[in-house]
Amino acid sequence: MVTWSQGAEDERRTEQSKVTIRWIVVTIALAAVAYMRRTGTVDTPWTVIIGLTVVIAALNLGFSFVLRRGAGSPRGVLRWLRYLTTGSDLAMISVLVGYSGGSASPFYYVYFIVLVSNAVRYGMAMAIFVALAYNVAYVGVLLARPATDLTIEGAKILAFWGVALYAGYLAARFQRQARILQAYEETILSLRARLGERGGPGGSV
Amino acid sequence: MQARRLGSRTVGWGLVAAAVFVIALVLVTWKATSPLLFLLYPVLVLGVLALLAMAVLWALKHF
Repeated sequence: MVTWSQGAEDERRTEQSKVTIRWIVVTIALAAVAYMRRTGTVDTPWTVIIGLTVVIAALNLGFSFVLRRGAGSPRGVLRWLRYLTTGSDLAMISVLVGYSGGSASPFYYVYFIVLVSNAVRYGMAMAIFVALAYNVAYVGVLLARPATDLTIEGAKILAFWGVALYAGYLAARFQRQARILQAYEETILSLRARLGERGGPGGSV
Repeated sequence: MQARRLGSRTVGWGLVAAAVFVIALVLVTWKATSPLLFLLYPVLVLGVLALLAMAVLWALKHF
């Protein structure tokens, strides 16, 4: 059986790995924006690029700090942190997408990185949360940078919902299989222990 | 205590509601005049899923 502290430790590790991945993705994405700005592919203002870099770096450092400090804290703290980190990721991507062409932004697909990485880690509830937050954030992007064809944008949002629900379903299946496997392992261990008790100190019957 | 049972009438109305939600999804996507209408998607998508899940579970005699 997974104990309370073990669950909290697993969650802390998961969030810590998200911090590392965030550094990598953000470095690549912002380097790409800066390059595309120089070549004139996108019209993102330099102030926005620098501002985003600073805000994301500050957030990531903050999350790192909370994770280190909250290593032994109640699990509830970590439970809301996962939604906070995911929500802030989606908000930052929306700002980037909004300032790099709106619906035509080459960075639109970064939304899918957040979706898949979180859905695989946390399952269906997180997949639905990501789809919901994306839905609201992308409507904000469309309001700020109106698109020419709203039908295509609607289809894009629906496609995102489809991917989110499928990713959540697959993650739920994996989680169930992992739990079954764990139950088997525990059964084997307990049977071994019983055999050991019967067979004396050597453990053989 | 007796377990609450879902009647076939409720499931039938649920399926009708699911169909209405699907039509609403198509209409919102096709005829949207403002991005704000896309905020209906979460309600419609999750509503369709929940109603279909209810019907499937009822068909499998889960409740």
